[in-house]
Amino acid sequence: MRRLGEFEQMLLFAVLRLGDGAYGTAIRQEIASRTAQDLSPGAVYTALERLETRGYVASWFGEPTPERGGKRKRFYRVEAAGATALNRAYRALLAMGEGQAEHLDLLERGIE
Amino acid sequence: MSSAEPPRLTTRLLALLLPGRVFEAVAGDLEEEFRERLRHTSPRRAGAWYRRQAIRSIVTCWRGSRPAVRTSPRDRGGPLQDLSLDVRFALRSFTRNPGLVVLVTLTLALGIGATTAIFTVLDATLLRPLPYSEPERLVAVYEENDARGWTWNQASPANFLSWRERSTTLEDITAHGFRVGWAFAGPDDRAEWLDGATVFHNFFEVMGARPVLGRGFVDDEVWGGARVVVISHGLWQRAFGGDPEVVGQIIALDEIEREIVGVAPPGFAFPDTGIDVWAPFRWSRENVEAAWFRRAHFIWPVGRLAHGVDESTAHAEIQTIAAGLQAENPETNESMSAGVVSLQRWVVGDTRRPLLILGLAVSAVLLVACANIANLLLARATGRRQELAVRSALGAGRARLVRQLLTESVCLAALGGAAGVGVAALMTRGLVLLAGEAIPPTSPVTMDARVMGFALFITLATGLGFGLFPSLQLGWARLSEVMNESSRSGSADPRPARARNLLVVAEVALAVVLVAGAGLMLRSLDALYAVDPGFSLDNLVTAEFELPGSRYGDQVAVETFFDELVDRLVATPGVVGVSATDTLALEGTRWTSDLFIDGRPPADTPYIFNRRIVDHRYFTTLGVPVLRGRSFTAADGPDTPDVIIINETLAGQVFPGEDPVGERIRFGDDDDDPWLTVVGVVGSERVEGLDANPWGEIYLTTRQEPIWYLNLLVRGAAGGQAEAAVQRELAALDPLVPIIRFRPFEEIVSGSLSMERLLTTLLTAFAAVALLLAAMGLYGVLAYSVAQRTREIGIRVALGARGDDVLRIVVKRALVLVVTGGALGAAAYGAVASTFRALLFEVSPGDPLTLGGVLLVMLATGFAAAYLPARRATRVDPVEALRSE
Repeated sequence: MRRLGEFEQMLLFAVLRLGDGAYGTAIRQEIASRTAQDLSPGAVYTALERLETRGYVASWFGEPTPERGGKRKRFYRVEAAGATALNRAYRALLAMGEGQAEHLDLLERGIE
Repeated sequence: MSSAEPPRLTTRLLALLLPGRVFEAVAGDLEEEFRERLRHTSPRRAGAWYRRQAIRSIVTCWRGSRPAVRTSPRDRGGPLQDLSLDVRFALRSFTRNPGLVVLVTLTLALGIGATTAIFTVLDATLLRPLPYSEPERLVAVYEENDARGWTWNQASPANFLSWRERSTTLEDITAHGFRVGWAFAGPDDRAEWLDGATVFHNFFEVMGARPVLGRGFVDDEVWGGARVVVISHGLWQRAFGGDPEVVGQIIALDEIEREIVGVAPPGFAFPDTGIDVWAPFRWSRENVEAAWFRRAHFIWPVGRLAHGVDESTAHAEIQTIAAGLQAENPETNESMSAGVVSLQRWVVGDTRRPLLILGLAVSAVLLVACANIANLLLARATGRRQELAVRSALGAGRARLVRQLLTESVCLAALGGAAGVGVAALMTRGLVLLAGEAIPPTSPVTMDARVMGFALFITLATGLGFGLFPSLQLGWARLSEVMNESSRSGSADPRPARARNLLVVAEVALAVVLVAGAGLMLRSLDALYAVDPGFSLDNLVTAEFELPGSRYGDQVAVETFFDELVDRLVATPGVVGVSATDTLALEGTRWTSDLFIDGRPPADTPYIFNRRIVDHRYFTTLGVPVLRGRSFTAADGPDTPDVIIINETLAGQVFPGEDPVGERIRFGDDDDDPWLTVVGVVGSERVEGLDANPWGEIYLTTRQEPIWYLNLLVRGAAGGQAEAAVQRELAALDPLVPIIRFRPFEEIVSGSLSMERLLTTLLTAFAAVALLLAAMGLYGVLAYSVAQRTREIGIRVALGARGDDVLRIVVKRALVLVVTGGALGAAAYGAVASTFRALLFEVSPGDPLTLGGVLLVMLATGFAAAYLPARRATRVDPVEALRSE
């Protein structure tokens, strides 16, 4: 099984957080508000497509709405396999990073 | 600009470039957020945001979904990444249009394949240096005689020796004689026929072919010294197993023993491929001062230029020397000149012009193919104008778009080129088979690195060539205009349509030239086949063999053997006639000699004629009519008066208006030259080929002039049977005599026409391809114009135009294109027509039948191409057409 990258982990967390409301714009806004990263819709969907082919997420289309020019929303939810992968990746990172946050901050500022 | 709506063209672009599922979600999200933004920013800024996000989405999609965080379209990466992007985009666009791609690839595969195949042949014959050491310094030295109409003639040995002595521009000169052959009893005691050449002693030194074993020849061996030979590397391997002790061994050739003194380097073959043995000339020192030694022209000198000397300097010097020899030897050298030409030109000889014509013709086909593809791409580009305009509006520079288009066309060309190389490999093989003897035997015709380099070059060149037109169109497309066009039907810009017309006109013009050339060659070949060779070809086969002089030392032995063989063959069921001659018709060579007629003063100039020796059955077997007097009979013999028969042509030259029968002729004016009595006149055979008028001929009989080298002519039995019969009877009589060659006479006739056939077949094929392509181009343009003018046609029909009138619109357009192209083609043809003249037989380049045929073919092509579009035009429903916008 391939390891999840940082971007993919962010996406999966965003989908988890948004619950029933996880579609493109909401996902992008969630990521933007928490990490100050401006992603293009294309990037979000292509990555989610790839996660979907690996069975990590599932998607379905909502109803078409007028503010979307008659186009449907595409919703996502995290599947069990996705949860397992995300859990493993996130815990591995946590375990490695435990107690290092302060150290990192200092290093980044050039102190020490 | 737009207010509450997201930029429509950007959305279209998204739809074009993103996979369907992704597109809906992305565009939906963007539109939703766009409306959100409209609440607190200006529509302009919201629109700009929309475009930026759309581009980023497309880019990340193409990149294979690596997140493009904080990337702007302008710093996406280096040119290499652009290139791979372009290529991927091109391939993606191909999958959307597989029909077009297949069509273009096939067209190109044909064009590039044919061009590469012809180049392979041109390269092997005209371009590649001869496979000898420092080949650029090798020249052929020839004799010329304007008074006798000799060009590039053989030299006489005495003149050759004089040149060799006096020339300073030539480092050295050697010479070879006619190709000869010997019977060779190989290790398994079966007789084999070896091809060989007699040469001057310095042959291997001048050719720069140092023997790998032993030595070449020495001076003494030409002048009656020991009998020696040098064998080819191939024969050394084949017959002696590469025995390192081969030098010094004795081999029997024609049952005469000769010592092997050397082995030639591998691959060396001159004057011909397949030469296995070289032997020195056998001249006698006493002959050197004899007049005949200067008068008889039978050797081919080859010189090596001294360092730093060019061909023209050597030519001038040899001319000066020849002028000196003329003054010194007025009797033998009157009006004899000489010259020098590079050995390459010499070897290629007459085939140079036809080969160059083929090169030009195939280039024309490639041009037509390119024009056709440019036409297709231009039509496609017209449909893509909006896409391109949008991309340019989104920030793609014009250079960037041109590069994209060129990348696309080069990708297409690469597909075509790859297929073309396969086609070329097949075609080259076919070409070599078809060409037969037409291709001079210098280098092997193979597709090597040079040829592949050429294929790569023309692939790139064609890709850039036909990509240029759609790219140019970018220059014409004015952004705002194109964008505004979206709601109107058709394009307001006439330039792309004009460009397409121009391309079609060029295609038609090139096709006209090719069709005319092919037509002329067809007519010429037709005329050649219609020529009566002067004898009957039906079921005639020939077998060549040579009786070894050592065992058949005298005339009686030869006669006995031959009579026995004929008796046995005639007894074979199905054999109608058997005869023998020393020289086959259609393969003759000329003699130039004085003819002295008993009781008349000598003529001023010598006659040129063929001197052939035939048996007394010859005229009956071949079906050559005896016009006056009698044929040879079995009663003519060594003890009866010497008799000759002459043909009608010579009779007309020597005895105009008289009856030659009973006249006496001799070749020399010395008292011991025998008188020959003319006993008959026969019809003229074409001895030098079907395209040459018959020469004068003097026939001698085998009963008085025995021959050891025989062409046996057998008529009547089907080919296989005759061959088996000859082999069986010959082996029964003397198993040590090998048959050199066995050929149906039809093959000799077609062999004598091999270049004509090659040229005609290929030109016809090229013309057909060009015609097909031109018709396709024409069809494309007409169909497009009908589609464009649907509305106009609808209005006309609504106003009362009938089917005929509509038809006329389309046909008129087709005619204008065909006639314009035809006129240009005729002009181009006029410019090249004279090139053809030398290749034509009884047809002039202005042959009205051919040109009329070309006109008909072109009109028919025009109508064929116009048929479908015209039919579509007549079916335009005016109500539909008017309602559509």
